[in-house]
Amino acid sequence: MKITKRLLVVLMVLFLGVSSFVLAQERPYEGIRLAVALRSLPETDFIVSKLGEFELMTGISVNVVTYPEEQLREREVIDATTGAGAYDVIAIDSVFIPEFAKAGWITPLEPYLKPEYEVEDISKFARDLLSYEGTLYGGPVYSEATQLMYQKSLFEDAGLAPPQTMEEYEEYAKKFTQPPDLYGVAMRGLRGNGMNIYIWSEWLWSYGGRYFDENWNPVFNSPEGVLATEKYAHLLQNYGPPGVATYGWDDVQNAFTTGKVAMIIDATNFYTRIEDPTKSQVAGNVGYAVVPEGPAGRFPGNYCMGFAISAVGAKTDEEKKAAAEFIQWATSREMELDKSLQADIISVTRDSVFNDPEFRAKFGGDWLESTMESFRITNPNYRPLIEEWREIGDRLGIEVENVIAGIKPAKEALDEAAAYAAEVLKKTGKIK
Amino acid sequence: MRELVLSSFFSFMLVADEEEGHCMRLNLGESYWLMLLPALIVLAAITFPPFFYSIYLSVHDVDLTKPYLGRPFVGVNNFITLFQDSRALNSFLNTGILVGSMVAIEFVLGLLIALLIDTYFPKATWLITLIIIPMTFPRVVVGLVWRIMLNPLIGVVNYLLQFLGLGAVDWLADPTMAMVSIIAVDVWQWTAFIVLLLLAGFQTLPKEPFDAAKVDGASGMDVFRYITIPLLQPVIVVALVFRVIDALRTFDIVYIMTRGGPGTSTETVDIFAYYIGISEAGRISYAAAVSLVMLFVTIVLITIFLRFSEQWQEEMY
Repeated sequence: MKITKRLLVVLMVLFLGVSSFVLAQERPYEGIRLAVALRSLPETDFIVSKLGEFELMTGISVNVVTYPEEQLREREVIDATTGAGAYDVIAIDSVFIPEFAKAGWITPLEPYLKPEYEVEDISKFARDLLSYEGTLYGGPVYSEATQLMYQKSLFEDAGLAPPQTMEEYEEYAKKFTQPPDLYGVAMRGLRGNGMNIYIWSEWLWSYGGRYFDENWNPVFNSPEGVLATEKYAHLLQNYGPPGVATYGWDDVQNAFTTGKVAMIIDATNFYTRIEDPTKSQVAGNVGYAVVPEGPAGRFPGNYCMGFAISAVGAKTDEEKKAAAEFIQWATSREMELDKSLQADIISVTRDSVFNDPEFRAKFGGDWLESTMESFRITNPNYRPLIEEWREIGDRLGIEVENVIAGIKPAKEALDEAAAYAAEVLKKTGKIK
Repeated sequence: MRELVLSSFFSFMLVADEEEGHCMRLNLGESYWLMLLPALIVLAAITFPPFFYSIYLSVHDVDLTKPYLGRPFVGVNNFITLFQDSRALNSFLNTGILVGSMVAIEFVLGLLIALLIDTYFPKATWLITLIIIPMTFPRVVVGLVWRIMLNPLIGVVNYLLQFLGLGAVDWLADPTMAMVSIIAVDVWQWTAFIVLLLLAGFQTLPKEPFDAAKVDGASGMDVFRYITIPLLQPVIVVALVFRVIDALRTFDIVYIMTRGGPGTSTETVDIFAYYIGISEAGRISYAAAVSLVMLFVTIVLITIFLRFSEQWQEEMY
């Protein structure tokens, strides 16, 4: 087994060496330098480790600048507003695509796509997330949905199947809660459009609420929204571990890996960490399922990170083409398959990778089924794809945290967030 | 000597004092200002442009992420918004509570520890080294480590509490406890700063007044009240001013430990300005207005404080 593996690697290296030698003959972008801003993730680290091949193949020299998660967007905003244009390619969260596109800071990727890129192969929701007004702006590096993860042994001992509905979810959460050894659920309470709001939105939709009406008036403070928020807060307050009101995704993950939490709803990519026996006490004991169904349906959340061409950095046509070349290489099908098979990265963005026999052999099972189903049914507008999102979502995050921490009643908190949202939308002219 | 140290600390404020003043005339004549000039030019170059630009920003409506909305002139609108915005006012209140409690506790504790060391272990430099260890940690690291230690589920603090038979405390997710935790961590880290300055102060005190007091039969408390404190007063002022200015800018610890939460219950002015200006929204004009008000408050506070301490000194002597 080991020998065949090694042989395979040697063959691959040989093949790559030969192919890059052949391609090196026609390096179309000789001498062009690209600066790429990204944050360090297993996904991007893998891509960066392969940069040599890309440089050899195209003649483009790539300079990578890495920022921590929270500073990446700030750096990019500052770079764009000051017109500095230090980066040609930027890594960008799907929720900020509308903001950046509307401001004219990113260039549409669509016109530069080559047929071999097979854009149709990218999961539909990921394409939608990285588009603004119907035009694709980014190539996906990473995508995820939210799903239910639970300790299988607990459910087996109790003779239960994973919860199918919100009522069952609450019922089981109550059943499993035995502090301080075991808590029913853990979910994000910490404020932020990508923190508590990322999970809370599922409750909003499931209970029949929505963000805006046809005229862009905020309506998440409707009776449905209030009920959803009360339900979410109730779950965390009564069946969550202490301190859950300020839990970020990392806290949720840590709590679950200690084995003190029965069920969590969070990102599909938790798989890698919670199934790692060196980091998790529940490795091998985790079941995966699509999120439970509420009165209005099932609403798994979604998120995607992509590479986009900076309109401020890549000014000339040649630079734009080179940037697009890089994005297509970094987010190609081959790259994604290599990422998964060589580095166990499972934030897959392409349908063909999900269906690849080798991938299925490695990651098949309830995780794969639940993830594929979640990708299929998730609504791209789970968090509204509008340029005002960040401001509205973050303010809402504060108010939802206020409710979870017991500082304000749900109605009052949501009214305040809705009033703020209306103000923002008036300023940008969406509300007349 | 002390005045010289002080004047290098507050080059601006105290240079003026010494001009009229009583003690140090270094006989530099005209070259006095000339020698300060390079430093003043550098200082002006790095402080004035951003300062004037923030004034420009504060009277316009600039939204970083919405360049298509233009940059209309709005006069004092941003300042009016501030005084009607409950979240903004809340951040000023939080900053006041944090600064007040942190500096007060640190000062009292610091004074006690400094007295203790000065009285019983005046030669123990190892003790001082030990005490200042927390100060040497970067604040972000301090925040992260405490955040983990205070985690109710996996943190060591609650583990010890439960070990002692006490209940678990929700350190960072309860509005009051979150504030208490932040104050405690800051006290843990920065009390040593007060200890250090006061100890240095103690060592510069002249011996004669103490000997005279002893001869006159003054009690320990009287010596402390009427000799130590007045003589130490300049050092106390420096220590307090530094801690207050520093505490007013509290950002890292709060940001790492609570992000200003739960809700906005630990959101300080700096964190609020950062959130609305760059992080959660691009309302840089409003953030500039908030920062200017904060600057104004700081200047007023420090001025009042220095005036008060001058008066205090006069009364003491």
